[in-house]
Amino acid sequence: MTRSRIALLVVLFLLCGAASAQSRYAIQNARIVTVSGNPIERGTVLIEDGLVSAVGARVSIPRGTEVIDGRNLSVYPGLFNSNTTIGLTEIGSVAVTSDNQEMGEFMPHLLAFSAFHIESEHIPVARVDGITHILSRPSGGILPGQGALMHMDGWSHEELEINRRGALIMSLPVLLGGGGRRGRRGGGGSYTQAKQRFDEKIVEIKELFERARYYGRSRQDGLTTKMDRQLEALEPALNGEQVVLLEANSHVDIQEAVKFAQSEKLNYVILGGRDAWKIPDFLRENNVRLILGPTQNLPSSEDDHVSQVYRAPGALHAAGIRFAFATGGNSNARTLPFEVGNAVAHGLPYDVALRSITLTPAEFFGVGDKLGSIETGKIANLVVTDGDILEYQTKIHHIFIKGKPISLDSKHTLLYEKYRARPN
Amino acid sequence: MKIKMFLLALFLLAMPVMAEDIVINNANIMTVTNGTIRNASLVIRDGKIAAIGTSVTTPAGARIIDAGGKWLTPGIIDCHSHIGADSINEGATSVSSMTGIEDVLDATDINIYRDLAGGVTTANILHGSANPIGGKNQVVKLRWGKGTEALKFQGAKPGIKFALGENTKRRGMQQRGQPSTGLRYPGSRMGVEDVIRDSFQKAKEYMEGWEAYEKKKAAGARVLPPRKDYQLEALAEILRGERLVHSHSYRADEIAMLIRVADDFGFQIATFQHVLEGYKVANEIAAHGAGASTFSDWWAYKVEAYDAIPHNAAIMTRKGITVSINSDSAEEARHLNQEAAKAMRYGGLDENQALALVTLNAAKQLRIDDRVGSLEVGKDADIVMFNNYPLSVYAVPELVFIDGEIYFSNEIEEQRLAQLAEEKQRLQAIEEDEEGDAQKKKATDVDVVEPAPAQGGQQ
Repeated sequence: MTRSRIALLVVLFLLCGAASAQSRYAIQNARIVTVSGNPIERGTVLIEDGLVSAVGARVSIPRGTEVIDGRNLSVYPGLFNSNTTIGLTEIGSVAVTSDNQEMGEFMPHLLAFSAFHIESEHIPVARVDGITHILSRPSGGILPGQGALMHMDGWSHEELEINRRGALIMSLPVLLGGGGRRGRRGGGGSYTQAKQRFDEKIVEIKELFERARYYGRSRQDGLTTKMDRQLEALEPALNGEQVVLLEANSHVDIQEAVKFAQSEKLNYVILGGRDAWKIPDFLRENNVRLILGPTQNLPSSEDDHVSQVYRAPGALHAAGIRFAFATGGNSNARTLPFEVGNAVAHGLPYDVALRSITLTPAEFFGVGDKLGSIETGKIANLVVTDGDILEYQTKIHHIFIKGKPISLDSKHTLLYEKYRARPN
Repeated sequence: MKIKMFLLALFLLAMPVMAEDIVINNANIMTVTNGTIRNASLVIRDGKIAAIGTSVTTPAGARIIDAGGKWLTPGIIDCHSHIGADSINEGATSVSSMTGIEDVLDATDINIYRDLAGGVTTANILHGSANPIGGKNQVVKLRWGKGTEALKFQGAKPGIKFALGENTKRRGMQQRGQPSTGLRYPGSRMGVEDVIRDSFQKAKEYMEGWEAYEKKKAAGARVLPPRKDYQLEALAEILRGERLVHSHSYRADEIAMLIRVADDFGFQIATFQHVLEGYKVANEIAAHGAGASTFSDWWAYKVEAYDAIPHNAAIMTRKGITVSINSDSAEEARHLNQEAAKAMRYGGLDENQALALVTLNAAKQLRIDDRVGSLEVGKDADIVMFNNYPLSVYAVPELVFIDGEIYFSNEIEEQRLAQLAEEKQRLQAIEEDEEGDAQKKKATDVDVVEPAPAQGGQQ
């Protein structure tokens, strides 16, 4: 080895050292809202190599750590919006900017991950309001595909990825509509007609699932080598390894969906749950978990309490039901903390509310050991604020995704800076 | 006996509704014009605000409400709404200025009540955005349960809806491969300008025709009057400064275009509605003297909303424009106080500036600020009591007053639900009575009653 080569290696080694020193951060003397335990009123979070390496009232900070003075600041786990179309749709009214819907009723093998547009303006816009990871999901048909669990920062899909097969998305035909212009009964007509269509479709779905199970066994036993990507894509869900997001909104549809999921022994979460408040006993007895939609919504009926939608989460919690919150859509994804704040105003305990957009959804998707709280060993997706993260006047000062400080710029802040500087 | 009852009822109906005197004590009062007064009282007399302060005289026999440290704000004013309107667009023509919301008011629309429960006391009910010149508006007070006439905000200056951009040209754009049936001019922003200029040119000539007629008539000539044209009458009112223009707009270029048209014809735009790129042409809007009524944070639902930013209200406010935040949606209207709070988050307005976005500024834009929009002595007692700081995510309206009368409270809501339950029971009893008959027939199908679809926005 020549001297110059050794010198080069030394330089490289030093560079690497510098790089690793730069990836170590400490937020010191901050209020740490761990979510998994009680808040630490004055403590330190140490971030190394993308993970939380220490958290507590007394944490020794290694030399070469970049220290953030956390006095008067609070550290929260990054917010998880577990139902969005971010990366799949850009401008709602322009069809060519949308990749969230495909033809066909049974397309479980389609990957939202592959169509995820990592330069979408929606990513930084939601991110600077504290959304650090999301589920981006396809829709349309019975089985529109695989929802992708994604971090909100990275150079490549692989860097953004938490799990490209984060959840199998599923919608049974709608039996009972209501709740605004959407959610009309599938195919129209009477309830009896809708139920008949529903039952026929269930038979079709069960046949497909049966084929998938048979296919799995045949492959395992070496009876077939023929590849079927549609059937293969169903396997993790049918084994109970992968969570199935089962969309249902009316109390009738929720009950039917639960019945179906139980008969297929699925590991499922009900997505939507608009009228879940009508059937708390059923939900508790069946141990049903939910991802609720926005609280800023109109009651589905004139006969409901005018604050019914705001009150539902508090009532469901009181009844012992577990749920997460999500916004759906793309451009409104940043309103997640406010939607949850409104539920707190109507009786949902604050800690439960915060958990429902951090740790609870992480647990639903099987990543509760990696995300959702501030604990040693977890991925350092963190939001540093000067107050309550659910409140409008609170300012976000720092965001970390996978332990990396994130720019607080977005299309919106950049346009703001540009035009506020326009001379009079 | 029956006649006596009838006469009594007539007498009660004929009596003017005299609201009782009310004193609200121990409240934090956000006046908008005069800052926040802590631990103060507000006196309501004859439906007006009679006194505000830390030491007020309580009128004899007044009802006392202890606010217990809760918050009072002016009733919220929504400068862009479609609640209580049975139909919204007359889009078969490019110019529908002969139509008006007044003729399609529906006082039973549940969304009036829902928005009232969110603290909205006044709303500007607008025609839709299907055509460059739309129909006339109707400013309403949300006097739920009192019928159509009671909704109207008497004395509010009349207005009209204009619209620019994507919605107006949708009917004029031929889809590739589709037959060109049902096309309606315009199909481009060029055509939108053309329709508006052409209409005002016609209105000018129409006015000149009438002036010539009046002159000849005054001179004693025997002349036939020109034909009354209701489409052009509304535009003539604009040119005479008697009717406000509320123009739906998104992009900076179309905003600048309408300002040029208005300047050329010598009238002023009262408000640009939505005006999502208003922050780009704030200088021009300010110079023209138009108001701007925008969304808090909606964006990207169409191309012309792709450059929308939640800092829009803050930038325009700092440029000296009278800015309001509106709902355009029965749902969004239920938390306009929170939408105003977003202007503190994005762009850093202070609490008075933020609250003015959904109260005083909207009143100014509708030219009703002598009556509503702030808590000041002499103004209508349109008041919301929030249980919490009104610009907080945790604020819930608990009492809503219009003209000093409580139109929403938890008790009123409980009563409403009890009445509904009673009615349902009654209907069920009738159904059970009829069941015997029904069983004789062959029940072939069961239908489930569905609630009427809620009214959505018109963005």
